[in-house]
Amino acid sequence: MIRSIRVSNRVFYRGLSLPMSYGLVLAATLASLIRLTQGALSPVDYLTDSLKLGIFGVLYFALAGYELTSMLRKLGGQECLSAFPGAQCGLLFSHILVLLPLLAVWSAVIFGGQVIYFFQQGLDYPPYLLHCLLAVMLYCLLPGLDGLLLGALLERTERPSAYGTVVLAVLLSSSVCDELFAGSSLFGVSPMAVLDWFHLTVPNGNWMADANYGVPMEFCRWCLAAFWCLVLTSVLLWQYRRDGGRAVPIAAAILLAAALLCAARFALRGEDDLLLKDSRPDGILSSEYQYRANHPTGELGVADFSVEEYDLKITAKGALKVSTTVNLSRDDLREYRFTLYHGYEVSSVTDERGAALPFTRDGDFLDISAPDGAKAFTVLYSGKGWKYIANEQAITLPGYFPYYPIPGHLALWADGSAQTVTGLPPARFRVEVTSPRTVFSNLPKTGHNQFEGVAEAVTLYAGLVDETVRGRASYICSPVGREQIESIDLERADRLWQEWCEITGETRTLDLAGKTVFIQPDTISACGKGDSESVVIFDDHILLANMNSTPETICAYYLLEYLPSDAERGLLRDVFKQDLVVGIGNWSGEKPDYDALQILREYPSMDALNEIGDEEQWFAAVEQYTSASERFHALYAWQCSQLGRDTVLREVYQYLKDSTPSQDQVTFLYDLGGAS
Amino acid sequence: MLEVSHVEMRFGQKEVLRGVTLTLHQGVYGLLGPNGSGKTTLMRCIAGVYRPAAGIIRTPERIGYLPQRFGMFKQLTVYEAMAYFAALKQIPARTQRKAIMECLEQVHLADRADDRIGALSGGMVRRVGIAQALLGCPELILADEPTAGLDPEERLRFKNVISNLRGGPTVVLSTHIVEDVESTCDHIILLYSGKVLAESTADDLRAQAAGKVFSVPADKRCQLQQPYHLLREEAGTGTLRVLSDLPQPGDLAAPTVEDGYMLYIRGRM
Ligand SMILES: Nc1ncnc2c1ncn2[C@@H]1O[C@H](COP(=O)(O)OP(=O)(O)O)[C@@H](O)[C@H]1O
Ligand SMILES: [Mg+2]
Repeated sequence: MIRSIRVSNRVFYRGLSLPMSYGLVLAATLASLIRLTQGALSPVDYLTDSLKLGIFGVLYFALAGYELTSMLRKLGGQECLSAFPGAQCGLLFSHILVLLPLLAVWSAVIFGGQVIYFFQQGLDYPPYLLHCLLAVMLYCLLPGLDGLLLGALLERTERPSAYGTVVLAVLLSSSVCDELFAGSSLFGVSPMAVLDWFHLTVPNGNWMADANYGVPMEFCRWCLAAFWCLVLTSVLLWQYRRDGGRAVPIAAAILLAAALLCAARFALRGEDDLLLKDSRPDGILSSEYQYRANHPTGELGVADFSVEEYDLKITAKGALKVSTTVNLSRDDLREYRFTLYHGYEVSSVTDERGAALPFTRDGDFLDISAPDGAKAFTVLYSGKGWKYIANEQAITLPGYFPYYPIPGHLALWADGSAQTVTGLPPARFRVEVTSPRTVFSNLPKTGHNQFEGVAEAVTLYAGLVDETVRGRASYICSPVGREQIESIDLERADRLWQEWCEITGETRTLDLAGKTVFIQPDTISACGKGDSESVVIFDDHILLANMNSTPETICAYYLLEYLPSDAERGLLRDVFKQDLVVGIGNWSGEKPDYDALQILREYPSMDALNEIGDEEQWFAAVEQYTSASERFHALYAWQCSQLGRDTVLREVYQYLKDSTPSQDQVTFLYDLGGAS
Repeated sequence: MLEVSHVEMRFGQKEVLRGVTLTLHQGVYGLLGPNGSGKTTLMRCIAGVYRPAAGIIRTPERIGYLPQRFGMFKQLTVYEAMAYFAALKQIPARTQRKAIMECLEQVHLADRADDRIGALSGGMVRRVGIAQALLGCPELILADEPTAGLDPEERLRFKNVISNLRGGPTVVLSTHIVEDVESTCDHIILLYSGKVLAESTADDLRAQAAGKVFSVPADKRCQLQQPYHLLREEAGTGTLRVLSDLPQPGDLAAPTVEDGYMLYIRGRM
C-alpha cells in the first residue's frame, strides 16, 4: 500500500494539469475569502458565504478523482494489475488517499479564513471557532470527499459520461435545481423533498444562519453526509470484490449497512432540520403563514384560574418534548382552558393521581375536562415551535411564546403577525432542560440546565449564546452577532422613562435596571415596524430585537405600545415616535399652510392612496402626499418652536391616547396652541 | 506447470473459449491462432483477469504477465514502475534493485532506468512490459503478442531473451504470426475459434505439411486440381505456393511451419 501511495503521489505531483488546477482552486478560494472579508459581514454571514465554496470542492475533487483513478486504464496498464490480487483496489484507494490531504488543505484554507475573520472582528468566544470548524467539515470537507469518491466510482466510464455525471451531481447539490423546482410538485411530491437528499453543500440564498443558531448543522445533516460517503465507498469496494480477497465484500456490506442506517436517520428527520428554511412550501417560515391563513383564531377569553406552579421537563433534541406539571389555583372547575402553540401535539393529560383526563385541542387552544375538578395536571406534548427553535443545536424559546400551557384562550396571531403573550401573574417555575448545550434562562440557576424561581414567564436560550455582564445588567446573546449591547443602558432607559412620564403625564412605571436582557436572534425577525416582538418586557427580563436597540427605542416602544393603533393617527404617531427616538429637528420658517396639508386629511396614510385606480393620478397623489407629509413634520417642528417641545409632546400624547378623538390628526396639530 | 481443463468463456451470447484443455510443462509454448480465435481471452483467464464461465485453471504462484496492451503512468521512471511491480510481486526490498536491473538488462533498458516512461518510444514501453513480466523469477510467463510493435532488431532480441529462459519457467507466447513461434517455441498450440486444434511442435507441423506444398508456375494456374489452398503468390518469381493433398502441376516445395499451420486452418477458413 505504501508503494501504491508513493506511485499515486508521483503520478499526481509530476503531472501538470492536476497540481495546476488544484493551485487554481486554492487561489480562487483564497480570492473569494478575501473578497468576502471586505464585505463587512457579520461573522456568521461570512461563514455562511464562504461555505458556498463547498460546491467547487465537489466539482474539483470529483474531476480530479476521476482523472487520477482512470489514468492507468486509459494508458492500458490496468490489465497488468488485475493479475495481482488487490493491486487495482490498492492503487485506487491510494489515489483517493493522495487527494485527501489536498482536500484537507483546501478545507483548512476556508477554515483559516474564519479564524482570521474571528480575530479581525475582535471576537472573544472560542466555541465559535469550533462551530466554524464543524461547519467547514460538514459543508466543504465531506462534500469534497463525496465528490472524490464519485470521481473514483466513475473510473471505468468514458470521459464525456463521467464529466456529465459529475456536472449533474454538482447541479443537484447546488441551488440551481432548487431555483428550478421551487414550489412545483410532481405527482403530489415536492421535488424539493427529493432534492434535499443531495443538499450536501450550503443550498441556496434563502438559507440563512443566525448568530444564535449558527450554520444549520443538525445531526441529520451529518447523517446525510455520512450516508453518501459510506454508500459511495461501499459501491467502490463492491466493484473490486473479486480483486481484493474476502475482506473487501465484507467491508462493502458493513459500510452499506451503516449507510442505510444513516439514510434511515435522514429520512426520519421530520422537521428537525432548519434547512427547511429553504423554498419548500412546508418550510419553517412559510408554513406558519399558511396555517394562519387557513385557521382563524377561535373565541378568546381570560381564564378564571391561574397556575401557581409549573414543573417543566424539557427535552430539546430534534423536536421539543415537554412534560409539564401545573399546579392550579382552583380545583373546583369542570373545564380548564389553556393556550399552547398549535405545533405541539398533546399526547396525554393526567391528574395528580395519574388518571388520564379528556382534552380537546383547537388550534392554539387546549381545553382539559376534569369531571371531579383537579388541583394539578401533567401534560405531555411534543412538536415544532415554528421559528422558536428548540433542537440539539440551539434553543430560542422566548417567554412570550406559549411553549407551555398558559391559562386562558389567548391570541397568538393578529393582523398577519405573531402576537406576544405578556402580563401574566407570576408563578413558581421549576425547569429542567435536557440538551447537549448550556441553557440560559431568566430564572436563577439551580444546577446544570436546571432553573427555579418565581417569574411571569420563562425564557430559554441556548446555542452560540453566552452571558455578558455589564454593571448590574446581564445580557444573554450571541457574542458573534452584531448586537449592540453597548448601546443598551437600562439605567439610562429608566431615567429617560421618568423624564418622559413627567412630560407626557404617563403613569405606568418602567423599571428595567437589573433585568436580564435577551437579544432576539435574526430568525425571530423581530425588527419589523410595529412588530410586537421587538421589545418585550417581563418582570425580571426583557427581550430586544437585534437591531438598534437604545434606551430611546425601548422607552418609545413601551410608551406607544398601549396606544390605539388606528390608521387615522398613524402619521402623527410616527412623527411623535421619531421625535422621541431621534428628535425632529428645528424649524425656523413660516407655519406651513393648512391647505397644503389637505391630501393628508383625505388619505390618512400612504397605503390609502392605493384606492386611486389611475396610474398617472396615483403618481401625482404620491408626490403630493410625500411633500405634504414633509410639511406635516415641519408643522410639528414649528409647533415645538412656538409652544415648547414638552408641551407638544404632552398634548400629542394625550391626543394619541384618546380612544375617541374629536379631530383628525392634521387639524389637531394645526390648531394646537389655539386655532388661528 | 500449468493445467487448463475444460475452460469455457463467453461474452454475452458469443462463445469465445469452448472447452479448452491443456497441460503445459517446462518450456516455451507458442499459442498460435488467427485474430479473434480467443488467444487473449485464454491468456487473461490464465492470468486471473477473467474468471472463466466453466472449467478449472491451475497455475503456479508466481506469474509474469505481459498483456496485449501494456501501459504505465507516464510520470514514473522506468525504475519506479519496475519497483512498483516488484512490490506487487512481493520481492523483498533487499534484492529488489538487483532483480529490477537484471530484468532491464535483459531487455536492454538498463541505461534508460531513470527516464520517464512518457519519454520512451512505444517499443521501449513494450520492453518495459516484458521486463516486468520477467521480474521475480516467475514460474509461468504469459506474453500476449509480445512482439507486436517491436522493430526487427528488438524482435530478435526478444527471441534471445526467451531462448535464455529455456529450461526455467513455463513460457506461453501468443501470436498470430507463425514466424514468431517457429524458432523460439518448443511447442505450438493451435487455437482456432476458441478450441485447441492441435498441440504440436515446429518440426511436427513441418513434417505434416511435407509432400503437400507445391510451387506452381503462374501460367499453370488453370491446371490446378481442386481441392487446393492457395497460400500465396510470390511476387518476384510469379509462382504460386499451393497446399493440397492431391498432386499439383508443379514442384514439391520445402514445407515450413506456416504450411503446417495452414494445413489445420485452411478447411475452416
Ligand atoms: N471483453 C469482450 N467483450 C466482448 N467480446 C470480446 C471481449 N474480448 C474479446 N471478445 C471477443 O472474443 C473473441 C476473441 O477475442 P480475443 O481473445 O481477443 O482473440 P485474439 O486475442 O485471439 O485475437 C473476439 O471475437 C472478440 O471480439
Ligand atoms: Mg489478442
